[in-house]
Amino acid sequence: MIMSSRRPAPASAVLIVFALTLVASLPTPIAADPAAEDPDEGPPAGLLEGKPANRAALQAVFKRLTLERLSCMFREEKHIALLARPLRSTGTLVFTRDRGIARQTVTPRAQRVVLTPTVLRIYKGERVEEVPLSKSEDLKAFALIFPTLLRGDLVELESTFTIALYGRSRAWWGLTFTPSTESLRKMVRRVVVVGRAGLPVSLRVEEMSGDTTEITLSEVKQDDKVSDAEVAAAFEAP
Amino acid sequence: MLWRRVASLVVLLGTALGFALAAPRFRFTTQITDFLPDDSEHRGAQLAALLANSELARIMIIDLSLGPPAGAPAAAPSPPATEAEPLAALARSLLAFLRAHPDVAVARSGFTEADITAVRAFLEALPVTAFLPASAYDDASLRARLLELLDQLGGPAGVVVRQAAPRDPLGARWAPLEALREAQGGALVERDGVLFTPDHAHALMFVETRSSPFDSAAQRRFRAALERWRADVAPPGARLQTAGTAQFAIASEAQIKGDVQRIGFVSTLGILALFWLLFGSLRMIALGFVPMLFGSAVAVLVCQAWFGELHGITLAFGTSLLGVGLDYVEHYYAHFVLTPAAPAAMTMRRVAPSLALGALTTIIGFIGIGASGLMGLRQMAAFSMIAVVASMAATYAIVPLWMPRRYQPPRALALVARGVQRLMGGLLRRPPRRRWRALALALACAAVAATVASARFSDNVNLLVDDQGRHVLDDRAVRSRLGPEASAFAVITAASEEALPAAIGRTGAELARAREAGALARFVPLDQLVPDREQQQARFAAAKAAQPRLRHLFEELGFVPDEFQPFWDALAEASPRIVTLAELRRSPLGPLLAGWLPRQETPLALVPLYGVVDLATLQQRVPSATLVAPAATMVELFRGVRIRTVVASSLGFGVILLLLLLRYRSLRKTLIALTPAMLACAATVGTLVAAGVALTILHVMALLLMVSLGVDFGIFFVDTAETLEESSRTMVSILTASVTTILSFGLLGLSASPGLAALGVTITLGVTFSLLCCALMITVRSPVAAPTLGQREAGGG
Repeated sequence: MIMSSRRPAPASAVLIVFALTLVASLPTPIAADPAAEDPDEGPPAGLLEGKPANRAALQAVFKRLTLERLSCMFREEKHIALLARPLRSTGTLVFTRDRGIARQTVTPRAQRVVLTPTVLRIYKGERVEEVPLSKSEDLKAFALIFPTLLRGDLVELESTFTIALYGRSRAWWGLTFTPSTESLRKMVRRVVVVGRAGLPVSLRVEEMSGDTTEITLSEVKQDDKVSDAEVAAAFEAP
Repeated sequence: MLWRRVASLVVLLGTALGFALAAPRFRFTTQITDFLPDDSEHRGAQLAALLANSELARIMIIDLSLGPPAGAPAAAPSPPATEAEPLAALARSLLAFLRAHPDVAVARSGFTEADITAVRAFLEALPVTAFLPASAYDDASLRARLLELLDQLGGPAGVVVRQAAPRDPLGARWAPLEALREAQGGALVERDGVLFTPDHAHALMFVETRSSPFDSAAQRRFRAALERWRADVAPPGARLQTAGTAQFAIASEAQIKGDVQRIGFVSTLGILALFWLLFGSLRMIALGFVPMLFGSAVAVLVCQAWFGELHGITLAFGTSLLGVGLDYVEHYYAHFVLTPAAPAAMTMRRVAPSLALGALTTIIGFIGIGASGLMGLRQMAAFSMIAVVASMAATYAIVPLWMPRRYQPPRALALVARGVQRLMGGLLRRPPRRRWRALALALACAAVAATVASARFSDNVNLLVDDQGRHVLDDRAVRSRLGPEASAFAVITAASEEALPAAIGRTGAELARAREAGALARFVPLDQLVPDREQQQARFAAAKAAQPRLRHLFEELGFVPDEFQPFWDALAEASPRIVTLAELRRSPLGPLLAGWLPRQETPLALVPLYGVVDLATLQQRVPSATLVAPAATMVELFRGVRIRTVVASSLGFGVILLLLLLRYRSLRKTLIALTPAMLACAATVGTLVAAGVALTILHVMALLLMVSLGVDFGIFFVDTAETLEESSRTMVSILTASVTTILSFGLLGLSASPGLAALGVTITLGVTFSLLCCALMITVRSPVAAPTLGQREAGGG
């Protein structure tokens, strides 16, 4: 079967990029933690420098990353060598532990992408492209990054990435994910997730080509504050 | 006498030995194309045969479903895509099994990651301008493509697009994949390399075996392997359905074999019983089978040598012909046993002219069948003619040599003979008056006229297929899940393989214009997949000419033109590398194109057409190709065959008339010989029409055979009915021949094969009517009453 975009891409690559995007979408709760009371405060300079934290600290960060539901706004900025200006987009993200993630881009044009536990669906007008998750081991790994991170399943993520933690689990911290498989390393240099206390607030994907993607989250609602109607609209809208 | 007997033994044993030695090398077929018209002057016939043999027809479609769980309602809602993983996994397992099977050349379903990777690698090695039409380089098209590139760079596929964009900013290399997607239509969805129906309830796979789909033995083995896989691997309730030519070949063969065995067994049993009842001699029973066995053996040997293989239908028909082969022996026996005082050789000399004439008229009838234009029927006619000649020769030359010297007819025969004689005597005593005969004749003529007027003809024949067989129902069900089938094909031919892409391009352009005009809904855009040399050069020139405008657009839309240096470098070449058809055939795209680009001696392409409004109008719009609607073409072809067979039969009948006139030099005798067959033919057609049967080529063929048999009866009747007793003996022989023929052909009428059933029913009706008409002819023939039975022969007549 042929993918329906003008430039059909291997399903694994689509998923990898989407998964990376989702990783970037990890939420910033409003007043979720005493240490995160000032959301405008940025991470300290040199957060990712120095020696990574020990495994106990890494496990502590993962232990705090657990959600049932989440919704937030996102702002994305891609720096691509082919383009003179960065590409910017904004939209919403909705996550549920059972159904996966729905990403609704609002600007510059509307597009909806849904990642369920088994398949990635890209809605383009009346057309829907489906990419199953079981295409490859790499694909599975990336598709599972987000739910795995929220589950706090460090072991699972370590099967595909080399993970390093910088900072402290109750304050600003940074996680770097470096692909451990050759196929992933051809495309992605590393993924950096920066967070504060229990939740990440931004993500940066660094590609081997030098292109980068920066995603920042805002207006985060979590668990009971995310209504059923909001979830249904995100996952079931035509 | 002795040396004759020795010679006859030598001939028989030699034939048997030759048969035994050649038997291991016999080849049989059930290829349906043998029953397609093969008139080489008819382009439609050529194309129909070509379509029937093309890769499109060779592909088997496998439909895998899990079915509802036990106790679940049949119309349970379809599982959503996310819940279809068990079926997807099972389908992948089946695909892996198929690809590992030694008889499988190709097994595919959807596009897997590996397929896409292979196709991408191939496309990336091709010139960037090869597949993008020259019209894509106008300002509006360029702007649209660059805006889409911009959109995709920011989308989920951005990382991949970014890798390919510097060399191919316009997405030209994906055009073939888009064309393939367009060709596939929208009836199926893909999930992880497996094609599904939209409800995800059926997974569909396409398989081409190395063995021919008509090689039923190999196909049976393959299906057995499939069943083993299902039993061993699939969960309970998993269901495999298939569509394709192979299952028709298997079913046809099984059906024919069943018919042959049934007909052979019951027919032989019935004939043995009849012979025992009437002739009461084991020796005569054994001897009676010699001509037909000899005739069949000779026919099989000659046809194998002549045609290289025997069709199952020929064999089935030949088996039935054994009953006809007995007619000569029966006629001879009837005269022998009812005049036991006459020497066997003398009786043979007496009846031989009738037998020879009967055989000749039968052969003339078969010539009509052979002229039908169908390879299968030609073989059948040849087989029958050879069998008739050989049977006749054996009856004349061998049978009398081995007849018993002393013979006591059984009582049953005497009873039958007496009954027949009594019946005929009664008819003679009270013959219908002339005006009643005239009235009967007028009524018969009126009935014939009414029959002809109300007769329905059908040329939409399905010669070998039981319309309700599982193989047919499965085929229909599976194909219905694939979405609309192509209603017609544009057949494109060219003088050479190199010239074919240009012809495809011309046809593609014509079809596109026709589609815009509403003459068809869609077609497979083969022209977009197979660009010709001139097109590629024109596209390259268009791309070069667009460079300045393209740079300007890049800058206007926010791209960095220098980042696309590989693209500019490609356009800086003096001329493009030309992609050839041979290269495409060898590429990962090759298997996907095979159905539309069959490998034939004449370079040829098939473009499936969908939603054709009117084929004739579309043909006017698409002069570069020949448009064929296979179903309609078949009907048209079979109509031609039917008409040609009727004309040939009429000519054959005329030849028979002349032959009889020459033989008898009497119009009255000639008409008496012909009338039973003619009346029986009219009555048979009338019965079929009254029963609402639409007459097909097979009915025509059966009528032809029936007329040949009926004329034999008429000849026997004219030649050997000088007296009432002789007439009675002849009627006994005709009765016996009728029963044996009905025993054979009547069973054919029970066949599930529409073709064989039509033959059987028609001939059974015809022979029955011929028998009745012969009995009635006694009133016209009016033999001179002879005083005693056998006196004439005993007197040396």
